Amino acid sequence: MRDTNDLKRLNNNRKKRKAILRLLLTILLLALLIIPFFILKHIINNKKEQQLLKENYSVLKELENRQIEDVEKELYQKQNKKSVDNSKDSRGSNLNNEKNLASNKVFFEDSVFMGDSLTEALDFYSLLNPSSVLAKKGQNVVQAKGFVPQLVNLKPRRIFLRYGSNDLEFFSNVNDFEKNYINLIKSIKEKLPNSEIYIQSITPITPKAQQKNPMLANDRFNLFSEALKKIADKEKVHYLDITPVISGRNNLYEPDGIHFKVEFYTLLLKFIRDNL
Amino acid sequence: MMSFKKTKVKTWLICIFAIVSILFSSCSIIQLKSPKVSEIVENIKKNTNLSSMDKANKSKLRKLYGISYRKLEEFAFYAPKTNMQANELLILKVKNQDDIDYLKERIDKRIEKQCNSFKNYEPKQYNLLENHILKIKGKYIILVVSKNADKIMKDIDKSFK
Repeated sequence: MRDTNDLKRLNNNRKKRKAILRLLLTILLLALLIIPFFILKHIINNKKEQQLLKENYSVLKELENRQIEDVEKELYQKQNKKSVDNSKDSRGSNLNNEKNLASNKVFFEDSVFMGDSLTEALDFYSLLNPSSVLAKKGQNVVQAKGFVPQLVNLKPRRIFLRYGSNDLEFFSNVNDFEKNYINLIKSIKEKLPNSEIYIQSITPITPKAQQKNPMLANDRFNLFSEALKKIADKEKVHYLDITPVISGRNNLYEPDGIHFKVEFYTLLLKFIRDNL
Repeated sequence: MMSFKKTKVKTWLICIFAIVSILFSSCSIIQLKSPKVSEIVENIKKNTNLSSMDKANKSKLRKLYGISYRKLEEFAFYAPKTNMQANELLILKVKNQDDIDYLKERIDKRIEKQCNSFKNYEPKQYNLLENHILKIKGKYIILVVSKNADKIMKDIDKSFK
């Protein structure tokens, strides 16, 4: 009896060992089959990278031999196409001068628009290159002097100034406004004698907004507006009356009756182009 | 012999039951902890109207934040409608966890720039910016600038439960 039990145990042990060996063998076989796949994948990826490197290198080499002007031309063309695409998907509404939108950036690329929140919108709505807009909310002609160094660095061909809305609140006396605006223009002319300077008129404010703020009343508004013409005369710079852009288009005001919707700005840029 | 078989069957049944229940619970944990950004937005929209902002695309994301969509698995960006408004909602899900710090930097920069722009001129909007909520949840980074910031954040948190 004892012997058969021993035999049984021995057999069981042998069977166990065989089973374990079989298991190990199958695992080894699987590994041998799977590992080459990974190696192949790695090799293929390496080859792709090397191919990409070669292509990039040849593009760079080719660029070395090209003139800057040619590359710039190509960039502008691509930029035009891109702006048209962007303006299509970022503003779902149908702006019927989409072509003009794209070309505005190029047309005004060597111009700089300086002003307050009314000018900031030109960059906010991506109507011009960011480098064409030097604006900050609340700016008056005194604070504007702080932007002159940046303006000088941009070396613009044309400079479009649009101040007055905040100055109506800042200056109680129109003469001080005139004095400081002239100051600003002089400091620009000193550093950029060859740049053309344009002063834009103050856009009208709706009666509702005027009611909320007595400093914006019609008599003051007219005083300050007249001052702008005087300044342009004195300093021999261009004066741009942009009132026609908003005339008869009161729907282009934002609810606050002072700022404007994006459509106003596309009209404004067209107006400026047509009146240079 | 019969009792031995019974216990074997029992242990197998318990094992299977344990494995299945673990699988189920782990599935649910994994799914909810990584909600789709679009789902988070749907949850927000149930309680808050987002129409005061403009749904923005990757170009605006790059323009306003300097963030490339390539670093992101998914994103939602609701931007201010005019330059006189500050309300904004940004939900980013990164591909690589390491990019979170860089993105936070870019968001901080934008908040600083906006604060600078609105301070002293639009006190209400400046207030919204001062009370902004900026949260990092693993691979997600979220910015809320809104008078409904708390409500929106609640719905965002719910999406992760």
